[in-house]
Amino acid sequence: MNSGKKLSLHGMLQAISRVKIRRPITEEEWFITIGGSIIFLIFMMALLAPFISPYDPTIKTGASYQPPSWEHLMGTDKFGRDMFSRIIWGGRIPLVIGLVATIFSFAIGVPLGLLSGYFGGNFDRILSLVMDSIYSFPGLVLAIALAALLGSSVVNITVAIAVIYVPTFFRVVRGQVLSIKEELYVTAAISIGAKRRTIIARYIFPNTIPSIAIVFSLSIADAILTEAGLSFLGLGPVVPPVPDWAYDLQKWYGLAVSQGYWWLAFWPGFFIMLTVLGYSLFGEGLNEILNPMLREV
Amino acid sequence: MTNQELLSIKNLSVVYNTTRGRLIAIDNFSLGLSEGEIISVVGESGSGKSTLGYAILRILPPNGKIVNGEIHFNGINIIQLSEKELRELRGKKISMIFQDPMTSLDPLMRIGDQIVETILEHEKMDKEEAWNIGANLLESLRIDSERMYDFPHQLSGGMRQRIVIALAIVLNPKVVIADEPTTGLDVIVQYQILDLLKRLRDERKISIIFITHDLGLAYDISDRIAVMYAGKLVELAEKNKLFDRPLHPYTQGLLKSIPELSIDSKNLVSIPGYPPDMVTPPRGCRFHPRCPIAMSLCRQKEPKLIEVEKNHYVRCFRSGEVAFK
Ligand SMILES: Nc1ncnc2c1ncn2[C@@H]1O[C@H](COP(=O)(O)OP(=O)(O)O)[C@@H](O)[C@H]1O
Ligand SMILES: [Mg+2]
Repeated sequence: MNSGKKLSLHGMLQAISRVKIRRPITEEEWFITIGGSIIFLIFMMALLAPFISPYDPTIKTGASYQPPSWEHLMGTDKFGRDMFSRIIWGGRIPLVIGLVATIFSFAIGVPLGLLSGYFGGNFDRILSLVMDSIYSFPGLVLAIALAALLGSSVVNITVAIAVIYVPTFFRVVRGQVLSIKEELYVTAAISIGAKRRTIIARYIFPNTIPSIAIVFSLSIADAILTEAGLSFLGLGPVVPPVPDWAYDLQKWYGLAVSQGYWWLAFWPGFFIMLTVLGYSLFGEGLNEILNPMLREV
Repeated sequence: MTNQELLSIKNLSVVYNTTRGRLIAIDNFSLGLSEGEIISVVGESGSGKSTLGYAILRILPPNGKIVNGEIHFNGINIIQLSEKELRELRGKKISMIFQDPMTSLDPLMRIGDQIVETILEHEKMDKEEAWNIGANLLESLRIDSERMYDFPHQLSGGMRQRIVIALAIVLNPKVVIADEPTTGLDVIVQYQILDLLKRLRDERKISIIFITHDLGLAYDISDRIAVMYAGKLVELAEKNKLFDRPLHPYTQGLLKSIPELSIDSKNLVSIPGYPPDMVTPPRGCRFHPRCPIAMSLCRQKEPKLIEVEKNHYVRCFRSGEVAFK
C-alpha cells in the first residue's frame, strides 16, 4: 500500500468535506485559505491596475519625496511619481514572469519526469544526471549566468528562470512515477491490455497532480524572488520608467536608509514579500494536506 | 492432458533475480484448464501462486523471467507472443483479479471511467456506448449501476472487489485468474464473491484459476484442486478425492488445519516449520524438512509427480501414508 497517494487523496477529500460539515478548520487549511486570498488579491490588483491606480505611475504627479498622505497613499519618489500607483502596476512584471516561467518549467519538467520514471534505463540515467547538475547550482547564480549570456529582456529572464525550476518538477514527478508504477492498479491496467500511452497519461499522470500542484506553487514563490534578485542586482528585465517592485526597491533602498525616506523601500519590499508569502503559504498548506511524504524530497 | 484444454501450462519455470541470487519461484509446473472449469491453486504464502498468475499473463515484474516451459491458450503459445499480441490477449482472452481490492482500482478514476477506459482500449466505439455496456454489466452482476459514478474510496471492500471482477470480465475473457480475491473481506462477503465467480462460470462459461491459501474456500468453489509447495505442484485431484484421500503429507497437513474439518479444536494442527528459502531450496523433496514421515530417500532425491490413481497426481515417495494424526 502506498501511503503517499492514499493520504493525498484522502487528505483532499477530507479537506473538502471538513469545510462542508463545518468541522474546525486546521492549520493547513488556514495556510491555503490565507495564501490563496493573498495571491488572488494581488493578482486582481495587478489585473485591474488601469482602473484602480489613482495616477499614471510613470510621470510626475506631485512633489519629490513626499511621505504618505491622503493624496499619495504611499508617498512619492524622487521624480514625484505616486508610489501607490507604482506598487499597483509594479506587480505585473514579477507576477507574469513568475507564472510564465513556472509554466515553462512545468511543461518541460513534467513530461520528462514521466518518461524518465516510467521507462528508466540509460535515458533515465542521463536525464537525471543533467537535471541533478542544474539542480545543484544555486538558482540565482544560474539565473545571473543565463541573464548575462542571453541578455536581460523579459523573455530571456523568463527563460533563465524557467531553466532553474525544470529539475524540481522533473525530480518530484520522476520520484512519484517510480512509486506509482509499482501500484497494483497500474499492474491491473496492464493486465487488462492497456497501452503504455494510456498507462502513463490516464493512470500515472493524474496521480502525480497533487505533488505537481505543490511544486508549482512553491516554484512561483521562488521564481518571483529570483526575478527580484536579478532586478536588485541590476540584471532585471525592466527599463525605467516602467514600474517594477524589485527595481524600485534597489533604486531607493539606499535613500530610504540614509535619508529616512522609508516609504520608498518599504512598500516595494513589502509587496514582494507578501506575494512570496502568499504562494509559500498556499504551497505549504497543500503540501501538509496532500503529501506528507513530499517534504522529504 | 487432453485436447479439450483451453489453457495448458507445461513444465513452466519462473525465476526472480534477487540480490541474494536466483530465486526459483515456480519449478517445472504443469496444469491444464478446461472450458468452464474452476481449478484452485492452493498453498502457503510464498509458494509461487501469484507468480503463476503473473506468468500466464506475462506481467511479471522486471526481475522475473520465464526460463522454461510453454503456456498454450487455445493452441497459441503465450510465451512467444509479441507485446502487441499480448495486449490483445490480456483482458480479452485472459484477465486477472488481484489480491487487494483496496489498491487495484485507480483512486482518482470513477468506476465508470475505469470500465470505459478498459473497453475503449480494445474496442472502437464512443464513450457513451462503452458507458452503457459498463452499466449493463454491473446490473447483470446485480450491482447498482449508479456505482459507475463513484470513486473507489466510496465503496466497501466487498463492493470494490465486485467492481474489480466486473472490470476483469467486461471484455468477455475465456479465463479469469483470481488471486486470493477474498482476502481481507469478512466471511459473508467472501462467500458472496465466491458465488459471483461461480455464476460467471455457469452463465458465461468462464474458466477460473482460483488462487487461495484457504482449502475451505477452494473446496467451496472448485472442480479440481492443485496444491503447490515451494514452487512445485505436489498434488492435483478432483476436490472430493483430494479431501477424502489426501495423498501428500503437505495436503494432509493443510486439511488438518481447517477448523471445520477437525473433530474438535484440539486436533487442529498447523504444519510445524516454514516454507524453504527458494534461493537455496533443500535437496531432494522440498517438503522433507517439515515432513513427519520423511525418510533418507526424501532428503536425497526429488520425487516425480505420478498419477497414483486416475486423475489424481502426487509428488511423494510415501504417498498415501498418514503423516499428520
Ligand atoms: N518481484 C519479486 N522479486 C523477487 N522475488 C519475488 C518477487 N515476487 C515474488 N517473489 C518471491 O517469489 C516467491 C513466490 O512468490 P508469490 O508468487 O508472490 O507467492 P504467493 O502468491 O504464493 O504468496 C516468494 O518466495 C517471493 O518472495
Ligand atoms: Mg500471492
